[in-house]
Amino acid sequence: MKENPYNPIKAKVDDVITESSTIKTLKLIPEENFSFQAGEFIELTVPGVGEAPFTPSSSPYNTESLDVTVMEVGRVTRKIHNMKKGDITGIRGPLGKGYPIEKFENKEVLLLGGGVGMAPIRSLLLELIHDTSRFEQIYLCYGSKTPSDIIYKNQFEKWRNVKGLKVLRTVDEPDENWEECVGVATVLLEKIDINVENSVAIVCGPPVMMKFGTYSLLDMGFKSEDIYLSMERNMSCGIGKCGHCALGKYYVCKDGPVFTYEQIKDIPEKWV
Amino acid sequence: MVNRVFQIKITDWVSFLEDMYREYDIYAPQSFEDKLYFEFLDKSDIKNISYRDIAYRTVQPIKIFFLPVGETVSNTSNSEEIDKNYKKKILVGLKACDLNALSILDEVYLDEDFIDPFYKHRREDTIIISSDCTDPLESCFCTEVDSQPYPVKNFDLNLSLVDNYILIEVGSEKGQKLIDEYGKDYFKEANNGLIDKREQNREKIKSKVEEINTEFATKDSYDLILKGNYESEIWEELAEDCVECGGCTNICPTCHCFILVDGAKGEEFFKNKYWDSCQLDDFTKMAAGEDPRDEIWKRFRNRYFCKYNYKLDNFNIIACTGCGRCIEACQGDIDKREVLKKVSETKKNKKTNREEVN
Repeated sequence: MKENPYNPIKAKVDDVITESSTIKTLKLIPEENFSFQAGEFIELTVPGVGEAPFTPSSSPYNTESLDVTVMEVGRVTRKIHNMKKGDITGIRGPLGKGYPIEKFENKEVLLLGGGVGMAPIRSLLLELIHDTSRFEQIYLCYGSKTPSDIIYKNQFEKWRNVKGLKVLRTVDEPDENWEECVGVATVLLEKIDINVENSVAIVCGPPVMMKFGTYSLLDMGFKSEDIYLSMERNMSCGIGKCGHCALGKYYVCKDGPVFTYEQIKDIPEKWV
Repeated sequence: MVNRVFQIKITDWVSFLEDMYREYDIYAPQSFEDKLYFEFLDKSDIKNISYRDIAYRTVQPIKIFFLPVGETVSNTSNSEEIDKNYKKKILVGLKACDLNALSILDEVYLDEDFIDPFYKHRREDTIIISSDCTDPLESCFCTEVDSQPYPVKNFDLNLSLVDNYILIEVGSEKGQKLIDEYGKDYFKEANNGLIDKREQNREKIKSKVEEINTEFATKDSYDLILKGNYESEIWEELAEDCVECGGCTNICPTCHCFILVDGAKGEEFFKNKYWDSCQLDDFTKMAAGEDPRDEIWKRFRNRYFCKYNYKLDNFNIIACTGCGRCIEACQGDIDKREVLKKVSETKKNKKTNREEVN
C-alpha cells in the first residue's frame, strides 16, 4: 500500500499523437516504477488544474512508459490536449480491477470496442497477442463514427497479420474509400462464427454501444458472467471513498471498472 | 469478554480530566439555547462540565473531528503532509449514535487497500469518552435502526451517571491505558447494584425513544422496506420538498463523500479535499455529460438506498445511526422517518432487468 493514496507520482510527457479530431494519445514516462494490469485505470493529474480517470491504452508488458488516450470533452481533457513533450503530469494508480485474463485462457475472446472505448481494449489486445497460443481465437470488433474517427489507425494493419486474431471494423458513416462494414458496432457480431459456450466477450464503448452490445451478446447465447464491461462513471478519488462513481452498491473505481454483466444486470442505471 | 466497569465520584472525575488536560486537547458539549455544541475546553471549563446536561447528542456530528470540512491531502512543496502541531484529543460526551457512525467511516477510510493516512492519524490520536443518552430529542430514532441510546462499541471509556457516581466502562485498550496512567486510587470496581441501576436507566431511555417514534414505527426494517421499491413512482413525490441544500449529508455522521480539487500557488501544486454531497446537481455527472442522477428525486432516492441497502451489502451495517440530525437540518421539513413510513406503505414494483430488450 502506498503511504498516501492521494499523492500522484510524476510522469513526463514523451510524445503526443493525434489520433482524430477529438482524440490524442499521450506517451508518459513515470519517474518512479509503475506497472498496471490491462483494464485498471489511473487518475491523470494536470498539475494545479485537475484530475481525470483513464485506462492506459498501452501494453502492460511495457513498464517503461504508458500511453493514455484522451478524448477532449471538458476542462481537464482540454488541458491534456494542450500538453507538449516534456510537460509534467501526475499519475495515481493503478486503480481498480482489470480484466481477469487467466479466465480467458483456452477460450475464444471477443473484443468489442467503440470510439475512444478502444483504449482499454487496445491494452488488453496487446497483452493477448503477446502470446496468442494461450487463447483459442481472438476477435477484435471495432466501430467508429466515420473512417477519420478511427484511432490507432496504423496499427490495425499490423494486427491483421497476427495469427489467431481476426479484425473486423465498421463505421456509421462511410466515405468513398471505405471498403469494410457499415453500421453500428453490433453489426460486426453477426459476421463472426464463435462458439459461445467456450467464449468470453469484452465490451468498451459509449453507453449506447455498451447497452446494445451486451444485449446482442446475450441474444447470441453468451452467459452474463462471460460478458465483461468496462464501466464509466465519474471516478475521482479512485480509492472507494469519495462516492462520485457509485453504481448501485458498487464504486466503479474500486469494485470495477471491469464488471461482468452478471454483477450489474440488476442495477437500473447501468447504461447511465 | 465483559468490559470492566469502575465507579468514581463526580469530583474525582473532574480531577481525572484535569490531569489529562496537560497532554490532550479536550472537547466536550456545551449548551447554547437548548442545543449542545462540541467546544474546545479551557482548563477552567473542566469543572463546569455538567454531566447531567450532556443528556443528548450534539449538533455537530462526530466526523468533524476526523474528516475536516476541507484539508490538503497532497502537496508538491511539502513532503511532510501530517500536521505536527496536531495535539491528541479527548472527546467527552459523544453518544452511541455518533460512535456507531465510526463503524462506517472506518470501513471507508481505513479500508486496508487504501488507508486514508489523515483519517487514520486522527483516529489513533483521539480518545473517545462517550456517555449514555438520558434525554432523547424529538428527532432521535436510534431504536428504529436497530440501535440503542447507550454506547456498546467504538468507545475507549463510557460514562453513565448513576446516583452520585460516574460509572466508567472500559471499551478498549486505549481506555484501560488511560486509567492505568492517570487513574488514582479513587477508581473502584463498580458494585453490581450501580450496574443494575445503569441497565434500568438505559432501558427506560430506550423505551422513551421508542415512544417518541410510535407514529413512525414500521413493521419491516428500513432495508427491507426499500428493497423492491427503487423504481416506485413515489420517490418523485417524496422529493418534492427537497431544495437540494445538502444539509442532510453534511450533518450526517456517516456521510463521507468528498470532492478533490487541484490548485496551484506559485510553483507549488496541491490537492484539496472538501466535503461533497450526493444530493447536489452534477455529483455523478461524467465528463461527456451523461448523468445517472440528473434529477433531484434520483439524488434524493440515492441517499436512502446508500444508507440502508448499499452500505448494508458492502459492510454489513447500515449507514444510519438514528441520530436524527438530517431531520433537524432539512430546509424542506422532510422527516426521514415519514419518508420511510410512506415507502413502506407503497406496493412493491419489481421490474425485470431486461425490460428494455427488443
